[in-house]
Amino acid sequence: MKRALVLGFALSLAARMALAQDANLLKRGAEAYDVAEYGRAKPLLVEGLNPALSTHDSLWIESVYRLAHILIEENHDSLAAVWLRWAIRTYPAIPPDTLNFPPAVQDAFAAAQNAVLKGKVGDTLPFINWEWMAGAADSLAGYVRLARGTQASAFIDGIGVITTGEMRRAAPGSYRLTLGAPGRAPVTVTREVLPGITTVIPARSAAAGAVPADVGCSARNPGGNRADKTLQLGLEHWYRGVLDSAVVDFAAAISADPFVALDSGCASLPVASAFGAARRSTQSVALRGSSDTTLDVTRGHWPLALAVGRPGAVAVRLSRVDSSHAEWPIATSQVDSTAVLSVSLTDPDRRRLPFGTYRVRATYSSGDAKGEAGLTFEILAPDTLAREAPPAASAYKPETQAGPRPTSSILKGVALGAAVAAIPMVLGHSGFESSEREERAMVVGFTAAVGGLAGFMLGRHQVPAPENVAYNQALRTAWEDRDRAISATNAARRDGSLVRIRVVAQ
Amino acid sequence: MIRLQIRDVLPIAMLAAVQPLDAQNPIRVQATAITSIVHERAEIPGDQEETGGTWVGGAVTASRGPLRFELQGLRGQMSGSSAAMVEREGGEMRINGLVRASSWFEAGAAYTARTFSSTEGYQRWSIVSLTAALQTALGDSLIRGVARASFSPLVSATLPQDPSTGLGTEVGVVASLPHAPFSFEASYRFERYSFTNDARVEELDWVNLAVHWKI
Repeated sequence: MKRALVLGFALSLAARMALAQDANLLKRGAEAYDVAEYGRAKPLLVEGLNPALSTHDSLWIESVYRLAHILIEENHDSLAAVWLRWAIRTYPAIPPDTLNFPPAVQDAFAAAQNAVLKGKVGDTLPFINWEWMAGAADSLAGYVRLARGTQASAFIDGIGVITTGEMRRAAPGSYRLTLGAPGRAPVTVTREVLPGITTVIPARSAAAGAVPADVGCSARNPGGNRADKTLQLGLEHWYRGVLDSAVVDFAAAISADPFVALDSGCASLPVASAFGAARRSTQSVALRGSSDTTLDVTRGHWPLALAVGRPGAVAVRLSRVDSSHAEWPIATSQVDSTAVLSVSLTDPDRRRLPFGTYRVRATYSSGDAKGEAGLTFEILAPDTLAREAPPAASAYKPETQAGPRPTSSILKGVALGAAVAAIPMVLGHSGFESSEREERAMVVGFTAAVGGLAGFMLGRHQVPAPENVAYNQALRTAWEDRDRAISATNAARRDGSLVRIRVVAQ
Repeated sequence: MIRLQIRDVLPIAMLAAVQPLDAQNPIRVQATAITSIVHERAEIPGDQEETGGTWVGGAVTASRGPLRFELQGLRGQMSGSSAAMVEREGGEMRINGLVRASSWFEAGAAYTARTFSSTEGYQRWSIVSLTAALQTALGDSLIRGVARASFSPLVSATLPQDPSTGLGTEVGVVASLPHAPFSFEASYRFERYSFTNDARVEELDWVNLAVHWKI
């Protein structure tokens, strides 16, 4: 026990020392880089970037940029790109640095990021290690090795097949690795080979990694009901290689709802085979109909979807819920996974079903297994269409427009003024000596005449605007036509063969 | 002092009750401020006298459907044409009820109580008139010409002899402001009263300036 504790402490201490040494390498590399001693800086940075010995801190990230800059300065742009792709694949959270490094480095980083992240979908093979060799900075080639362990093989584009324990020399670059294991589907990923460094593919990783080749496959409706969520959980187990749990989840999902399905893009993937096997081993049946629809019962049938887990025979019967009428058969079918039934809404005597509540019952048998599913629905009078409101007043255009000035207003004003002026002369007693009353009348009469002139200046005769009248008439007519059509449709619905079918429970 | 009695306003109240209240037929109210330059002339055989002055007052008009009622009051000082005449106070209260027969014609009846008082005495006139009113737009709907004529078959006055009949007319022009509740009116009003055997002639004229406000 004490030995174990001492050994653990020693290993921990050694790891801490290694990390400290690695940080020192990167710091020394940074110091050399800052004074442009690239020849001294490069091996320090290459040694210090070893992910087995360092953490992905800011010093490590800056060191990636520094090494890329040095390689670009040495006209080794492609090698800089490989290092950047490797760094981004190792630690995708590296942020772009647009301040401390020249545009060439920024461009190289952006290109590497684009290349790595674009191809990242489906690439979930994390267990690849790199072994740093002494003098890595001066090496011209790297190596790829498939570690010993489970039987597995890898095909590397441009290199060929390697088997467990085999190591191949490779020029620095990004390679497509196709990994295979007995009984598993192959998986293809892209990984970098760095100069002086061995890219090690652990055999266990190759074997496990061969399974999630269909990563990205999902339930047809992942956010749907409980069965869909269970299926999605099973897929997550599948991707992680927990296959037994995945199959159990698939069966649970199918048992809860045999309509549950994988996305159509998954059809050719291994997971689809596993899902299909789970379906064939699960006893389940379900009925489903559109929740609310309108149907012409004289011409159409109501489509009902039927799904089963294990293939079996299904007999479908119909009965009226709100009466004591017995069931009558409407369909019998051998169903492999899903089927669509066309239900005629008539009774056994082919008479149209009256309004009311009905139940469809599907009995399923597959060997010794039996199951049952039901669906309750109502046959109702169809809804009528809502009447459309007449056009708003603002939709109409004015039916008159300004015409010529009203010359009659001048005449009216003058006549009115003359009438005022004449009042005292006509009605007044001639015996009075004062003439002031006539003067006052004249003043008001003049005002009235001015009013007439103002009316002439301000006023306009209103004349009809035929185009607007026609437009308004067309607007009214169109609305009346629509209203008439709605009325006719509603009348037909009330009196015709249309019925509304609403599913109450399924 | 002008005193309104129940018998004076009862017919108008009955007329107002003819139509039931409803939202499509609301009561519209208009308030009016009036300044009036008024002159009164009287001729008694062998003598003429004329007084004049400025009256101010107001009116409230309520209309609903074709019916319109107007209550108008004016009051002010009047002085004589000669220094020998004493100043007196004058005023009138008029209740007018009209029925609109068409967009341009109204007819109705009015009761006017007019008083003059001075240190030398008190004079009251009570006038019942039949009224006809016309209006026409002068080119633009914002400018209207108005004309009213009245015949007064029942006139009483605290004079030795009651007037036999009275004739009156008023002509003016009304200008409204677009999209505003105000309108302005200038009018000339004239009334003449005859006495039996030409024992006396009385006539009055007003130059009215009024501001109407639709409430």
